[in-house]
Amino acid sequence: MNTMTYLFAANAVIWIVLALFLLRLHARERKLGDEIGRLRRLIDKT
Amino acid sequence: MNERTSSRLDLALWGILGIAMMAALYLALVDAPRERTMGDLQRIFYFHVAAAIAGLTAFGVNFAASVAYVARRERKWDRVALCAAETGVAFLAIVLVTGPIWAKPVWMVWWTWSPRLTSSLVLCLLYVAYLLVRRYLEDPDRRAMIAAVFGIVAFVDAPLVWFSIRWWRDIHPSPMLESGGIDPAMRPAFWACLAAFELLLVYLLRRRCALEALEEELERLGRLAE
Amino acid sequence: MRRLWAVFRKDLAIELRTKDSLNTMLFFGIVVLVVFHFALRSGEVEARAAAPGVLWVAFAFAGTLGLNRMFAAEKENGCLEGLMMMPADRGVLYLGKMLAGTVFMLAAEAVIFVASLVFFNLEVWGELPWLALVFFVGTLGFTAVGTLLAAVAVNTRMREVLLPVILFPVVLPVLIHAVEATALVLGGADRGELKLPLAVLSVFTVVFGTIAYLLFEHVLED
Repeated sequence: MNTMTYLFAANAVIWIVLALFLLRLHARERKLGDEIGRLRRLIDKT
Repeated sequence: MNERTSSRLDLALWGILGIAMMAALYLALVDAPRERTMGDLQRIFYFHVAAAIAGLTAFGVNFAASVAYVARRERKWDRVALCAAETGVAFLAIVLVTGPIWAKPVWMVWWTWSPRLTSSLVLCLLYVAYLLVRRYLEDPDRRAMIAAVFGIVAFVDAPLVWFSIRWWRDIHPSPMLESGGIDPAMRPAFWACLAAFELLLVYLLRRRCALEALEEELERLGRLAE
Repeated sequence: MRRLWAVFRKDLAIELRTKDSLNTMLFFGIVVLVVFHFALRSGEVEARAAAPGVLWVAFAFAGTLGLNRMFAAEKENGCLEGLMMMPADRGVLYLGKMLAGTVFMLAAEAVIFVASLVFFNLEVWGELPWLALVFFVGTLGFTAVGTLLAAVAVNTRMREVLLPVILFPVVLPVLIHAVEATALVLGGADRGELKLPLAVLSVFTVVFGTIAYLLFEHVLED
């Protein structure tokens, strides 16, 4: 493997890790938001 | 802070972060001169070191928040501590993966037990342990307090780990930063990467803390609904 | 001071009556020695080189077992709540437990060490006082932080299982220097070289002893 491959691999890893972290945050944010909305409606109804 | 200014601030932060990242990428991958012995490979260094420093910053934040929690017992400090530990582990993961990728072509091995590598690994383990402790404590108040104690122990331990491991032979290119031996032409890239990663840290911390606040809101509503 | 002595004596008395954890510690330590003999596939030549590391791994495992037991038993029978009503600083409770833990560990270490002399064919009569000093200082460092983290672990859902996972990364500096110091003694190095590891071990003990003394009450608090 030449040096470019290594450079590419390293950068790929950095951005994949960061993207995964952000995606996970985003997914959880959305799930929680939905859940909260559902509960709010439930509470308003009663 | 009310919600609107908060989200506006987030948007601004997002914009600045985007610009900083682009600038850092350009400076590190294109603009910085090619290193004499390692060639383009050395360009990994900018992100590798920036991630390491950002990770250490996160652990510093964790320590400060842990101390604040023990002193004040306010939930928000516990939230900050948790978020900082998680983000720090993510940054350290970047360091630990890019390190071997750099080491393989330069030192011909993926891993050497050099002090810096070993300390980074131990540091990562310490904070994974921190997250484990949190995970197995149910009561929120006890969890916050015990985690804060462990956070303090972990951070005080870090320099001791570092010095203990340092007696061993060091082949890491370490004096580069301390002696200012880094070439002036490489400095813009280095500082840009560092600034970008620190900004990224701030951004991630804010996002992560907002998430934790949502979680608590959900818990509160859940109790209300019952 | 009197209360510290009382906590210390209580743990000692319980242990001397049943000898549960001490026996387990001893036996476990010796098992570790035997396992390592096969794991390292060591012949007699390398034994002296491998001994410090193997010994300290055995000590650390045995110590983890002992510290766990010291808290788990009390958690089960509610003794910890009783102890917390003691009219004294919780830090005193920590010091008493830490001293008791140190004594158990040293007792276990003595036996494990004798076993290792036999297994590894070591001749160390002249170096015994120095080895004893290294073992003592290293063990103090181990229990200084170990006692605090054992109290942390016993409060979690995982109970005792968690202790090695959270203790070993923290206690790594102690293990490194204790192994180095033991190797120096066994290698017949100049005694002056022992100063550095012994100093680091002492600093570790003092730093974490102080932190644990101050924070112990927050870990126990209900």
